[in-house]
Amino acid sequence: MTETVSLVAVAAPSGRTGVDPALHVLTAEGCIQCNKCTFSCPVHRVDVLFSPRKVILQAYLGGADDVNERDLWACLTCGECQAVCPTQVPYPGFIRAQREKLRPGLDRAAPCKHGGFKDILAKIMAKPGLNQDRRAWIGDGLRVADKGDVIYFTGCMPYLDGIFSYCDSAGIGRAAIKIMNAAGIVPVVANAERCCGHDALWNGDRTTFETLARANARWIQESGAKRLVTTCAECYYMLKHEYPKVAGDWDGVEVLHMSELIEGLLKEGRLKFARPVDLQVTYQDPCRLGRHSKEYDAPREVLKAIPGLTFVEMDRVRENSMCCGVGAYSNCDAATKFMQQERLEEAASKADHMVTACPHCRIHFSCYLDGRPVDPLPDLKIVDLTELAAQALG
Amino acid sequence: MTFEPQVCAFACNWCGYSAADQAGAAKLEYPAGVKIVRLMCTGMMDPYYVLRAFEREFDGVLIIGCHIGSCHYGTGNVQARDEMARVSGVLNALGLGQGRLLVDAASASEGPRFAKLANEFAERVRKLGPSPLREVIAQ
Repeated sequence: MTETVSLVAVAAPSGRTGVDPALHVLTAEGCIQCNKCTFSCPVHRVDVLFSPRKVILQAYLGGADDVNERDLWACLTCGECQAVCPTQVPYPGFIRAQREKLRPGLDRAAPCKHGGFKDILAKIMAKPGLNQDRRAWIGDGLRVADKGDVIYFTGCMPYLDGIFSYCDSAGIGRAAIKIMNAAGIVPVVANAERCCGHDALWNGDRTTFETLARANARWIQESGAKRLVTTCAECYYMLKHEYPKVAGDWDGVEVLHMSELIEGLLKEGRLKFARPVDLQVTYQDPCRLGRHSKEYDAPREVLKAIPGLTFVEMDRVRENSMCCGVGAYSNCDAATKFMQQERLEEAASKADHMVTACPHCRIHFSCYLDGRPVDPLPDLKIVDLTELAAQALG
Repeated sequence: MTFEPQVCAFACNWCGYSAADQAGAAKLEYPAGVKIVRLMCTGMMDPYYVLRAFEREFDGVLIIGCHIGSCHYGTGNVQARDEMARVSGVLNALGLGQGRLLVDAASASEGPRFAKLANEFAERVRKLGPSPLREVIAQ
């Protein structure tokens, strides 16, 4: 590592170290300017002036803090660039660090309508006096508890239906509880729960994120639960990879995505898919579950275990999967719509249903289908993995 | 110190705000805690504005547009009503429900109606008490 640092230092103009501290910490000094990031970037395909390579070069030359606002917020942080990078330059991590650093000087936080909603929701949930009623969506016939071994972490899911009318997001939660009940688990759904802080962190609001993380870590540890299950790829990524960094002793709780839980339950024989689901489906890897958490197999195993289901892979899958077009609700523009159209056409050419494992992917894709595009798509439905699994229970 | 409810009132340029203007000109009294934000149309009300008001420690949010059928832009007030109906679910879950949000109408010439709405809503919020999101609760 010291070698690469010195290489960059030599290449930089005299009198400057050439290595930006933010990059240095993130070990991004390995960039070889091959431009693979730019050509793999889904935003670049629409906005040719947007280039991760250029931003990294600028940062090398000591201009990391002069990254223009458009480049700062256009990045989806989907991680495609890092996946193809021969030296694994953590571009999303760099953008996150720069957003954190530069956001106080900007007059707008996130240039996107619903970004404002998510942003303010996180801020409200960071207030100490908050007194939530998070269980209204559950309905009859499903069992939840106040104390237990398994926590079902719902995140912002109970709030999404208030805004995104075209998606029944609470349906994912009901399906998750149905599955857990069928396997003999009565999950804890707590009113003390708060937003996971994903959007706050990725949009550069570290104070809010840390407040939320500490509040969540406290009640989770006090509850004495062994396992924590989430249906959201963003919550999963945050709880598993970011919380240990701020919440200290976090080892006692095993964080599972719903797909991992179902996979485990199927193996143990505690859950059986009895009813055939006669559909042709394809699977969209959410970036937070796939590239950011390296969980590609569990959702596929669950799909393969459902009787009657025909599972077809798209062309770009796993590390090379396409983004749903919006990262952390901070960008929604022409590039987003272009990406969604491309991805949905790809899915429609393979199957009649597209399965995702993240409620936010589903919202973003459904938004495109709801918005009556100029060129209407074939009849494609977006379903969540958890809902599909619940259907197979009968 | 007695609790003085802070109400964020969003009023449309054509009806609600004119009514507030008229109430002022006619020297009708309404609580000082009612702060007015003028919008061109209540149809531009975003869930974000409502949540932002609560985040800024207001105790209630009042939205005053035109009467149904007389919106300057046609259907802005209907949009606002529908959008806010959905937001009330979010507010309930956040523990800010029980009527801390009200969507109503006052036409441009209804100054007394504006004062009446502001008074009644402030009274309702006073009974509900301070918002749980307030950092320091005034007693």
